[in-house]
Amino acid sequence: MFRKILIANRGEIALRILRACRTLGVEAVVAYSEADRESLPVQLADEAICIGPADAKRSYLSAPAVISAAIVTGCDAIHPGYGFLSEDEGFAEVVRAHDLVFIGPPPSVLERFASKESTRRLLAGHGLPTIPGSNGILRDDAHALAEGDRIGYPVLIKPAAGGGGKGMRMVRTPRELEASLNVCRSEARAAFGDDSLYLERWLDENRHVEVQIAVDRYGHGIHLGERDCSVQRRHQKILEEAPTPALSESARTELCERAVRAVVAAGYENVGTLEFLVDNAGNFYFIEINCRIQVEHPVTEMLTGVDLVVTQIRIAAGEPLGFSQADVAIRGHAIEFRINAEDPDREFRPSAGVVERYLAPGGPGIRMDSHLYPGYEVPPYYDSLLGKLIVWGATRDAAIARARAALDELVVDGIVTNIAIHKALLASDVFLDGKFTTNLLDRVGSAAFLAAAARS
Amino acid sequence: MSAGNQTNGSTPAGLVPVGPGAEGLEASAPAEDDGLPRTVATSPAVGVYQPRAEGRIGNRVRAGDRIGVVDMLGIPQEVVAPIDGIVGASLVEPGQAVEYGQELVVIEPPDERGSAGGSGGSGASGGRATRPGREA
Repeated sequence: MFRKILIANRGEIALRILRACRTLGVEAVVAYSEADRESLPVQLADEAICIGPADAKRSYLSAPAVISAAIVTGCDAIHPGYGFLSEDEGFAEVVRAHDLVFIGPPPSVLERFASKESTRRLLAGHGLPTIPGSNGILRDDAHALAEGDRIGYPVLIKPAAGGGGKGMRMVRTPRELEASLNVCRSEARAAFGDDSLYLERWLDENRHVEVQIAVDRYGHGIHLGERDCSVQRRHQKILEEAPTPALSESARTELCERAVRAVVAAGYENVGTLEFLVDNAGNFYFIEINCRIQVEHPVTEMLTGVDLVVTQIRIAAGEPLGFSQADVAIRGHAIEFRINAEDPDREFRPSAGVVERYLAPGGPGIRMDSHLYPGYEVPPYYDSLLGKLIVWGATRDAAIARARAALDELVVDGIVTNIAIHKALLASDVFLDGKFTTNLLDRVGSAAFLAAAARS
Repeated sequence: MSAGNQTNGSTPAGLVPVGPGAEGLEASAPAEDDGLPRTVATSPAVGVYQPRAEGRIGNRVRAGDRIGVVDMLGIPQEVVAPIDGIVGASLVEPGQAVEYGQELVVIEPPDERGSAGGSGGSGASGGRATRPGREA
């Protein structure tokens, strides 16, 4: 096991990693930007070190600053959290070159899975169904148009290098495709430093279901069930739950078993998530793999009792998994609500400011992962996630009932939050029936959705 | 805790760098410490500090002069004098690990030197009242 870990992230995930380090009895250093000097992880850390100014490019995204901080504080490993440097195989390689361990897949594995387009082909070769798409990276506009005709419209333009909805466009006609390629290329170049694009057939009504897996260095892999992340706004997840209401128990088991078989065969290592789209008929198609801890990992922790961050650190330290598929029991139902500093009444505009009052809900099956405290000033420089409310119940209905009570208890005063959208979701028939699809919120419009919930 | 950032809410992607210390100190105002004007050169990076010959105590420097270096993973980052003045006490040892924004070297305004009584060896209690360092 490591002696001392540098946490190269901020907010609730920095706190979550700090807690995992405490569980393992490993010292932790929180690396922070000037804007986060007063943040909770910095205050609670064994040690904290300022690595740069508020601008993430010169702090959380600066590989030299992060690695230098790890060296001067005597760390032997770096946990990148999610976002920032967490999926940068170049960063992982430089970390290793300085005799430090990147907590995640080894650099060679990250490199193998770096391109979404080639990962799709790799895992298709190991038995995962994929959405019909372009044959490799789009060479130029003519190639794109030819591939669009072959696949059939509508098609989704996707960047090969990254996720998060950047550089992604759904187009319904060749003319739209031609008009969108340059925009997508420049968005992808700005976000990922790589403007390679590929095409996938667009499934109009689909659900986003992902499988959590863990594979140790010795090729022993397990799955920890799936999560349904179909409640999205402009490709951003806002609520996740498990098990997915979209699939029967046998279909879920088949999906998860095929996913873990494929990644083990493809040589994956450490925790990871395979994302799938599921169509109305229950067919599933692999879309991409995330080689990091995910925002919504607590949903799985609530169902299985497995600490995923601890598991991730242990695997990176070279330890065997220590348990088998038969030891993983999936119990009950869990839902996670992302509490964001966003104003649902103003197109989800990000907000910032001072948290005047904060009260986390409690009771059986309730977990709140948040870095908020009364008097905390939410800086305007980073993503808008304030915390995650995770609820567990023996059944989906029980979880929903606990969620309603917990959302009513939750107090965040002083900044605008998106709590209203969660309350509206829990009042909507389509959510209660388990029928949410990824484009539903955008199609209905958030304002109309909130208004409908208010009337009911 | 400084007052609201609410006005920045509309531009989450437009990152605005801030200086060390979120208190909003005017960059041009010398810090007050024990009633004495005192300005401190701060670290431009996280790494290992080494003074330059130009940063020797008692040297006269101009604002922007390079008085030391912080080695960040082999990339030298210049420590610069924030004002015209006389190099005073060093608050860190050569070879010491420093963080971004850390106070490194006191710079005293030239006209204060005689009357200030002792060139400010009295410690690093300035807290956040420092000046932003600049990257070379």
